[in-house]
Amino acid sequence: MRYLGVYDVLAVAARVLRCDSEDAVRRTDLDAVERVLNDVRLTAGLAEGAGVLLAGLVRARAFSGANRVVAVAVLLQFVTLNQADLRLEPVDELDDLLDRISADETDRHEVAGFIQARIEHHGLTAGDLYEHLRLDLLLEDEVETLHTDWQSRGEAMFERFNAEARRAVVVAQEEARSLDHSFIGTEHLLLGLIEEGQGGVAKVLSDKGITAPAVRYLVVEIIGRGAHKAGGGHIPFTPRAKHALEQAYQESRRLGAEQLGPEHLLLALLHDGEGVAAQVLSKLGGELDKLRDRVEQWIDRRQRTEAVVTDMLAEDPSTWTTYGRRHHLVHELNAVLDENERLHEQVARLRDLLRKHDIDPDS
Amino acid sequence: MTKEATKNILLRLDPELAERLQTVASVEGRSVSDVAREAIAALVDRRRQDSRFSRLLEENLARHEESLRRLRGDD
Repeated sequence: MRYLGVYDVLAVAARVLRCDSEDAVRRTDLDAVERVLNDVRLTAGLAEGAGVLLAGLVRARAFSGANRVVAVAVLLQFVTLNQADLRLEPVDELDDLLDRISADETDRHEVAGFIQARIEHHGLTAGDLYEHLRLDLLLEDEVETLHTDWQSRGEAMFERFNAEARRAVVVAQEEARSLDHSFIGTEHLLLGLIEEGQGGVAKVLSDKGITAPAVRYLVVEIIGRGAHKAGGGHIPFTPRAKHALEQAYQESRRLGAEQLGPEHLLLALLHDGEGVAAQVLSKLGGELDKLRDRVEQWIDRRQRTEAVVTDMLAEDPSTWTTYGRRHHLVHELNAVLDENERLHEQVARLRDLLRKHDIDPDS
Repeated sequence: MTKEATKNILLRLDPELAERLQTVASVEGRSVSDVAREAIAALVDRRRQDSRFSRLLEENLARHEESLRRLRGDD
């Protein structure tokens, strides 16, 4: 999910109100916008996020002059940035909803339902595919250089990257480009891991409040944006980022994994305590060692889950009455293991809470 | 711009940034709010120069122009 930042919202407000940026800042309740955007980051799906965004902005009357139009324009931009479109017609129904939001006569579920019924998701266009392919090809040049480098040392590292880890590296390059940076650093790899968003790594991070907008904000604060628009050409890795990729390879080997996944990349970023990514993680997520423990606990649980499922699938098929029953049991087992993982996380949160109140959870 | 239309800036700033803003404001003889507003506006300007963001916004406003025009005001 692509979340909006305060500057995105202000840019939309300035355009809709046809005023300059400074005027838009004057006419916007920044504190209210920040609160609403933080609430949006706590949501799961696009419709729910869009509902919280619209209801929050309308209710807070965040924009002086044409509040409703600006709020709807911000909503449209949010939906579009997430590869979808929103049908506003019939406008009377939308107006009725906005009236009820203003009067506090509706809840977030109703608003999310209203939006869900009007969202149209975009299919992939040829342009999207071209852009993706172009980025992949550009990245391939850089990866090829590294590949040759590692191969010359007899290490077939990139063959071990799984699909999610490869996507995270591609997204890292996109992130570098969007910040006008002419290099891929550890901070872009971190953003790539979060935005790639598959699996437990992004969840471990988001549980600690480490979201893409928060990371981007700190990256801009620490190193700023690039002075010039990054071109469409080759973007090299920084030496520290190269080292992080090597470290991720070592982490995957240490943990006996067959493939290098996003979790190993994150462990590598945590291992390097001085990179920009580590600084950002430390600022947002607290102690790096504790974060590392959480990631390793997640990896451990995932490995045990996979081992149980693999063992079950390897059993003598004659012990299964029918394919349907086997399929059903595997599904059930996965559900139980997922629930187990969820409970583990809840227990960990409760233990943290007890410690915060100076209560030893093991006493 | 009427005075009523101006919102107060209540952004939570870390102490170091607040101190830097205070220094700039006192050197330039302006209020901290003024300096902060100007700094935020500069970042908004950068966002507005992002070609993909602007293109999507313009397409959105053009596609929904008629619907947005018919929305009731609430101010």
